[in-house]
Amino acid sequence: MATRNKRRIVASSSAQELPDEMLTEVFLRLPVKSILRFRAVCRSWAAVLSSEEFCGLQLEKAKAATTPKLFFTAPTTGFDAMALYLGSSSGPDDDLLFTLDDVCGDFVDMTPAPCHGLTLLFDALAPAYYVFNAATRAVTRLPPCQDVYFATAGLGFDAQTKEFKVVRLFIGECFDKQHIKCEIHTLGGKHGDCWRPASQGVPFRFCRAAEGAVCHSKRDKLLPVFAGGFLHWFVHPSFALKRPRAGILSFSVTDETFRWVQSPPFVPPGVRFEVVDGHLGMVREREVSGLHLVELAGQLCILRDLRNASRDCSMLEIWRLEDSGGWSLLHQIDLLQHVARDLIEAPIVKVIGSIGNCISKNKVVIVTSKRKEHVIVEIFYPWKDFKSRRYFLTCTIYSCNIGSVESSLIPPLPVNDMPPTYLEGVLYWMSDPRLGQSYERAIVSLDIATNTFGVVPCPSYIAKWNRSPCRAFVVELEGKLCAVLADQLAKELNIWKVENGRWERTHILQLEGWSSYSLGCAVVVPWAVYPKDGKILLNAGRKLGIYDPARQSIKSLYDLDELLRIKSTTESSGVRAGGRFQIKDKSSDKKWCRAWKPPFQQNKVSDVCATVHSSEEINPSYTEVMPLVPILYEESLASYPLVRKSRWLRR
Amino acid sequence: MASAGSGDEKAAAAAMITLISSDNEKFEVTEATATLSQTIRHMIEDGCTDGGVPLPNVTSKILARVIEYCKKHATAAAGEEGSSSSFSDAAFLEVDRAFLEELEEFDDAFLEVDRATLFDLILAANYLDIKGLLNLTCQKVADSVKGKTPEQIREMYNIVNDLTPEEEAEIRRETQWAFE
Repeated sequence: MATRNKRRIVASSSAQELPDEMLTEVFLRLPVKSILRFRAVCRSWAAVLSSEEFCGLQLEKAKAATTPKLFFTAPTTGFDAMALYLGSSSGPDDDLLFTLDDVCGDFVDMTPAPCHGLTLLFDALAPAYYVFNAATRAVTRLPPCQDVYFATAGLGFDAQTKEFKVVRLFIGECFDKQHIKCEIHTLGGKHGDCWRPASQGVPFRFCRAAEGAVCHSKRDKLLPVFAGGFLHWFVHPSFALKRPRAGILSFSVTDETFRWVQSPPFVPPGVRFEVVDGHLGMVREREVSGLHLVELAGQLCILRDLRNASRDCSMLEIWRLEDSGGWSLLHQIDLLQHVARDLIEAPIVKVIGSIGNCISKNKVVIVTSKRKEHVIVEIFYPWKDFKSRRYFLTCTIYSCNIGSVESSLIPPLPVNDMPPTYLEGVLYWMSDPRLGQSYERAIVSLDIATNTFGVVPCPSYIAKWNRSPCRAFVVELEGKLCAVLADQLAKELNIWKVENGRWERTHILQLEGWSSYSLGCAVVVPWAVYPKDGKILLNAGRKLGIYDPARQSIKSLYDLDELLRIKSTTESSGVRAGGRFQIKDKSSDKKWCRAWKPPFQQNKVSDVCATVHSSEEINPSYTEVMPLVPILYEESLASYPLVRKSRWLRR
Repeated sequence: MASAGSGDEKAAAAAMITLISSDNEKFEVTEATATLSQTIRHMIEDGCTDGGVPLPNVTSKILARVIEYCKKHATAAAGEEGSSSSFSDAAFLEVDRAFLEELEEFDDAFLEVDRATLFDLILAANYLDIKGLLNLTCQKVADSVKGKTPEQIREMYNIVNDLTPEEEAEIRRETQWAFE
C-alpha cells in the first residue's frame, strides 16, 4: 500500500519526478533546437542536457537515422556572406541554418565530413579559418595564421584530452629555416588562442610527402580526412617526382606525429609530364574524378572511380583500410543499376559518408557533380597582315584549378579584337573578315568541356562584310547568344538573337543624336535587357546608360568623365545583381567587365558553372548557387569552449 | 487475416502466465504477450514464473493498459513473422499494410491518456523493458514539449527556475537562434 501511495504522488506531481534516466529518454527524442532551448528551464535540466554523456547518446541516436541529412553552403546574393542551408532528401525544405558574414562563398573549402559534429571551413580570400557546429550553430573564427599560398588544414579530435585540434600543414616563406611547417590550434585556447608548432615538427623523412600533400590539397581543394584519431592526406603521385614510400600521409592528433599509410593496391589515375614547346608541361590524363579518401563508419576508405579506365564503365569501388594496414575491397557499386545515366556522366562522383550505425543498415551517400573550374582561354596573334590576309593565331587554354595548359588547338577562323562572350559552357568570338580566306563574318565557338572549336553562321545581314569599318561582335542577352553589328553610317546598333536555332533581329538601337554613344568614337556594347520593360543597358566604355526602345532615348546612369554617382539602385535592380559596377580602365574603350561577375573574371575568363545532382534527389532549384559537394549533417551537440572571437549569426 | 489467425492459434497453444500487480490483482496472459517484456522473458527463461510474476512497481490500472498494448503488439509480431516467411505474396503485404495502419491507430488511441498515466506507462515500460512501448510513450512526451518555450515548460511541469538571471542570459546568448 505504501508503495502504491508513493507512486501515485510521484506520477501526479510533475515531470521532474520522472527519474533522470527516463527524462533522458524523452530528451533524446527532442529536436536539437528544443534541447538547446530547454537548457534554460532549470539547473538540473541544464546539467543533463549539457552533459558529455547526453551529447554522446544524442549523437549515437542521430547517426542511427536512416535518411541522410545534408547541408550546403551557398554565397548570398550580394556575395558578401555565405549561407548554410539544411537540405534533406525527403523534401525540398531548404532551411537556412545561418550565414557567415564576410565569408565569400565562392572561395571556401570545408572538411569533407564533420568531425564529432564540427566542421572546419577555410575562407581563402580573407584568409581565415572557421570552426562551426551546423546543428547548434556555434561559430568561431580562428586566430590569424601565417598567410601563405600553399596550405592545407584539417580538424581532428583528441580522444584522450577531449580536445578538438586544427592541424595546418603549409609551405612557409622561402627564407624560413624549415620550408614545410605544421601548426596546431587547439579549440578553446588551452594553449592560448593561437597557432603553435606541432610538438615534433615535420621530420625530414616526411617533408617531401608533406609538400606533395599540401600541393595536392590545394589543387583539388581536398581537405584531409579524419578517421581513427588520425588526419589523412592523400599524396598524388604527380606531386612527388620521386614517388614517396606510401601514398597516404597521416598525422596523429593525439601524439602529433606523422606516419605512413600504405598505398591502396592499384595505380591512381594520373597526370604525366611532357615537354611542350620546350617547357615541361603537365598533361592531364583521362581522369574523370580522382581518388579520394573518405571516412565510413569510423574507418578510412578510399573511393576508386573505374570510369577513369573506360567510358562504358560505371563502377565505383570503395576500399577500406584494415587494422592490419592492408586494404580490402569493401563495396563495388555499379552506378548504372541505381541511378539515371545523366548522373553517371557527371565528371565528379564523390562518396561523402555513411549513415546508419549497424553494418547491415549502413547506407553510403554518393554525390555527383559537374566539374566546376575556371578556364582562361587566350587567343593571340603573334603575327597578322591585312594586305596579304595572312595571319598566325595561337590558342592557349589554362585550367585554373589544375594548372594544366592546352595549346595544341587552332581556331578554325581568325577572330576579331572584340571580347568573346560566354554562354552555357561555350565561348563565342566574332571572326575577322579582314583575314584569311573568307570575306564573310562567322562566329567561332569553343566548347569548354570538350575543348573543341566550331563555327556558327552569322545572320546574313551581319555576315556580309562590305569593307566598311563597322564593328561586329557577340554578346549574351536574356540568356541567348546575340550578334551585334554597330553600323556607323546609319548610327544604329543591330542586335540579332538566336531563337530556336534561327537568327531574328530583335532590336535596332537608334543612337543618332547621342554624341557620347557615337559609334564612331566609342564601342557601345549592350549589356543586359531589363526583363520588365525591355530597356537596354548600354556600356560605352566610359559611360553606362539605359536605352529606352520606345522613346529611342538614353538615360545616363554613370559617367566616368562627369563623375556622376550611380543613380538610385531601384532603377538598376532589374539587372542581375544591379549596382555592382566596376569600370576597369579609364583609357581603354575595349576593356570592360560584366557588372554581375566577380571582378577577377575579365574578358577571357569563363566559368563552367557547377550543378549538383545527387542520387538522393536534391532539389533541382538549388543548381544556381549550389556548391560542389554537400556535407553530411550530423545532429551533434558537440561543443567546445568558445573564446573571444565567437561571432553573432544573422538569420 | 490468415497470419493473425495463425498467431492466435499459436498463442492459445502456449502456456499462460500470471502477472500480479502491486495491488495484488492477477492478470492471466499468454506467453507470447508476456514475452514482449524482456524482464518477463528472462524470468520465463530462468523458470521462475510458477505461482505468478509479482510486479511490485506496477499498479493494476497501469498493468491493464500495458497488457492491452502487449496483446495488440504480440499479434502484430506474430503477423510479421507470418508475412516474412511468405514475403513474395502480394496479398500478404496488402494485409500487412492494413494491419500496420490499424496498429498505428491503436497506438494513437492508446496514448490518449492524462499526463500522470503517461508517466506511469513510461516507468512501467522501462521496468518491464518493453522497447516499443517505451519509445511510443517517450516520443509522445517529447512531441508534447518540443515547440515550447522554457517558460511554458516550467508552467506545464511546475518547475522552479533555479538559474540565476545571469546564468539564464548566458545560456540564451550561447544559442540565441534556438530561442527565436
